Amino acid sequence: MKKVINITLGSIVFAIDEDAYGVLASYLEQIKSNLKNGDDTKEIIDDVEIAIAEKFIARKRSEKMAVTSIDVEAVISEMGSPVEFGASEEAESAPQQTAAPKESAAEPKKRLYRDPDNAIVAGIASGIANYFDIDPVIVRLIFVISIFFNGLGLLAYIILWLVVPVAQTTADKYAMRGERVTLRDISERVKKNLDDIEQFDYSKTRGVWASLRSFLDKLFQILGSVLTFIISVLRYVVGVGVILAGAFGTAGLVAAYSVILLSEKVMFGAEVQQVFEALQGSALGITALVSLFITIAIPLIVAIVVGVSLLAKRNYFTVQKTVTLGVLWIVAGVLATTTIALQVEQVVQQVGPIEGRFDESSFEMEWENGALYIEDNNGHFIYEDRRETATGTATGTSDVVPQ
Amino acid sequence: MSEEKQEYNVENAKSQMRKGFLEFPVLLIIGAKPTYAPDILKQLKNANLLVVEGTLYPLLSRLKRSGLVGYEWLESQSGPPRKMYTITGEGKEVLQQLETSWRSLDTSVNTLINHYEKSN
Repeated sequence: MKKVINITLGSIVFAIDEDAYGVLASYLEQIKSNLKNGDDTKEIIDDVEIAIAEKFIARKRSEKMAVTSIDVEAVISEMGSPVEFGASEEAESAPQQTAAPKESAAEPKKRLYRDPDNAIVAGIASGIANYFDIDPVIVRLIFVISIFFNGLGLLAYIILWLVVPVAQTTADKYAMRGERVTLRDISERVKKNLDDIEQFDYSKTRGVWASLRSFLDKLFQILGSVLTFIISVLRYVVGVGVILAGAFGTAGLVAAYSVILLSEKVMFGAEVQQVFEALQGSALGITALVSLFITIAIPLIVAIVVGVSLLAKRNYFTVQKTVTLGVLWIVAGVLATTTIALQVEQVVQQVGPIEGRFDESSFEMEWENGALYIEDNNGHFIYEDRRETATGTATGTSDVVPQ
Repeated sequence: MSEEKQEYNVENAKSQMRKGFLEFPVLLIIGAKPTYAPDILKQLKNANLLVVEGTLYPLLSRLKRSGLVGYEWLESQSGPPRKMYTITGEGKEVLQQLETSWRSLDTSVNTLINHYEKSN
């Protein structure tokens, strides 16, 4: 018993059974995809449909008989494979090309799915086996053995059950095996579709185990969607958090650097000021500053991109970008550490050891002509502050005097 | 430099040979008298020229697009309306040129074939 579909070909109505319809529809689709010249495609398809209609009429034994897949296949073999339709187009533009037309060479992307067709529990082992192209028995053995190690395998299985989607459609199943879905495959599927579905249906297998399994599957599906929801919430929270952290970090870094570069105008302790000046005064110092900037900035930028990727559910890191950033970061990091090490040495030499230079009794402060002078007991000049403040008090003093 | 040896596909070459010049016989058929697509097919089959039926429809559409042939729809008693293909003035000119070119090609290839057969 088969369902019959009414179709028109060349404005003639045909009753065609479901299976035959699937084959015919995919045949016409394949012809369409083989024809490359846009405007003529419709006309060619119309011509083909008319030709098919005439063949169906010629084959029809009685008014009441529906077109069957035997008819369709006979007609298709007369018409020729869909590739032929495209090949003559190619022959026009590239007659020297004798190689048979190949399907797109790009490797289809393999995805991890649970395999309901070969499931013992939830199809995870066979899904993994499909993914890595190994025997599912091996995967099952690993799971069973690992259960004896603190139930690790069981936990992994449950998590996978929650997270990995089941391969439901034909396209899913092809993606699971890493095969490309072609219309031909689908038409083949259409032919045996009904038997397959019946064969694969969980509920068709009898026994307590089957009903327990279908109950567990439903339960895990619900838990899985809850988990997916939690994960997507987490994704947003973490994404926003990481973007904010990156943005604030960048802002802080830029602020810090503007302070360093404009430090003359900013109130700072003498030590810090001297260090800054020493840094900016030498090529080594500037190298240190720039490479340090890059070393800090790259992780911040990466954080922002990670955040955006999380929110957009898209990976913005290409291999090229990642490698470039990584190399840049390592180079800058090495440069920063070495130059800073050298610089510290120089600054220490210039400024002198910071520790022990001041204690309560070792310096004198005095005001003279609105400026603050600080000298140590040996009469060595330490600090001069000529800033004028509204109160006449140099607020810089508090920075200078170590407690 | 290692060069991968590409196997010569005889079937493919034969089919390409026929496909490449299929336009000429189709124009000849339509040029003789207005013809339906199924009759073009029949004549090609009789002349042992057709690779598969599917190649004809893109070819006819291409000839139509280039203005070498035209068609009119004719109702048919037993089936769908059919396209009756006719050759255009431009198509006749092209047919002339193709014929000349074919004759010279035929002569050259025949000379070569004769030469080849004598040497064996």
